Amino acid sequence: MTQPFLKVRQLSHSYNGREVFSDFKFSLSTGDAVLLQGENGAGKTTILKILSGLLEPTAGNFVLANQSGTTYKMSKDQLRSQSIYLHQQPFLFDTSVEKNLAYAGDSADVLPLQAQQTVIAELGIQNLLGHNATNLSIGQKQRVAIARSLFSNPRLLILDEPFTAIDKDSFVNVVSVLKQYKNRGGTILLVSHQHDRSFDLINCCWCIHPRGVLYCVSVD
Amino acid sequence: MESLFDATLDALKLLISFDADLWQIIWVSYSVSVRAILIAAPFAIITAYLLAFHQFIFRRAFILLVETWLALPAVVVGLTLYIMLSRSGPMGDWGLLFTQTAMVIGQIILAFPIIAALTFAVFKGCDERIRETAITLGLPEWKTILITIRELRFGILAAVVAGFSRIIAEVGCALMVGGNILNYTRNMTTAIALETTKGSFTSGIALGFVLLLTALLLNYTVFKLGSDKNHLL
Repeated sequence: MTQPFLKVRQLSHSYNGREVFSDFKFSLSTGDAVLLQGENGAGKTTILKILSGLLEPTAGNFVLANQSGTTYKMSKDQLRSQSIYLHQQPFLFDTSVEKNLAYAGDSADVLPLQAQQTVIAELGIQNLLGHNATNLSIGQKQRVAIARSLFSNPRLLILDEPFTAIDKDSFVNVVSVLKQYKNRGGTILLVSHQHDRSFDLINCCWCIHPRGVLYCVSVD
Repeated sequence: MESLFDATLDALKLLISFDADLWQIIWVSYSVSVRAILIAAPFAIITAYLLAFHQFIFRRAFILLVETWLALPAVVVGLTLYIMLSRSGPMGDWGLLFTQTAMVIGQIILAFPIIAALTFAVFKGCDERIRETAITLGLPEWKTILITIRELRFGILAAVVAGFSRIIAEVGCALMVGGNILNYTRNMTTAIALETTKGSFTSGIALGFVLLLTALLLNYTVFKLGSDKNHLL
């Protein structure tokens, strides 16, 4: 069994004094593809943002790469450097699709050029490269944003509702490139209300119970 | 006293005839205000960014200070600078009183809070995905700042134009620290004030036209850039 590269303990978060969840514990291993489920307002997006280093939790203990447990503040930079978070409505900068993709070049472990071309071809965005990204449809934006995330070649890819506007044909290709990423050793954590569309990809499901308990179900 | 119609007609003739004194006054105005805005804008934008997105000690006090500074009358800035720069003042040795440099300093002080406060509002109201996307892509802080500014460029440009509009049209500070010296520190507003006290309205109206035209052109530029943004790649 693969050693977890991220362990989280006693994770709690509150917004303006209202507790969203408390004392969650979970771990992620290389090659995992986890579907995070829960009712609206259960804290799914909050967990995704915390794990991508974009939101400070009220409390939590993080163990990264077998180091001893640390606070969020000490782990934030490492969380940011090893993960990419894709918003529910992905944000593309007001420039060409090509330049948007080039922003991934700043990451430490960028995908090789040939692999980038394969991703572009499989996601069917080669004809969009010269377009202004803000003029694309939501489905096209989602595909471009997924390509940009994959170009960064993160250790952990965090996807918030990535398939909402993607049509059936494109969906097959998106799942295909995500599987390739997983086979290369990438880890996926996603939130999707289209469960049936995600089962092709995932091997584990985290469910947030209404009583505030997080439990794991193996899909395999 | 000449009629308003005659004075307006004479003013237009004066402008079209490229009267040397008049155009020198216009040049002084633009030269001083453009220099002031070029210095004030970058500092104000960075200040607004830090106030909007970073937590540090006395942050709230800084925000309050910038917003209070907005209401500072030009004449108070002029008076304070006059005291500082006059021969007996703490910066008297610099010999800056009644120079264009003194006018630039005064206009920087006036433009800074307007640009900072309006840009701060633009940053606070912006889509949080802009910065989050830049951060999650692993971009360095300076690139995140540039991207945020680029995405919000029309709001920021409007803030800079508001700052420029204030300083090009202010009279109190320019008069006090510039001294209204012909062909050196006399700008459009101080010239209008002087000509009006002399009862000569022609050049005053001509300069008024230039000020109005400036405001029109600046606002049209912001409007045009905003409406054409999808064509600017």
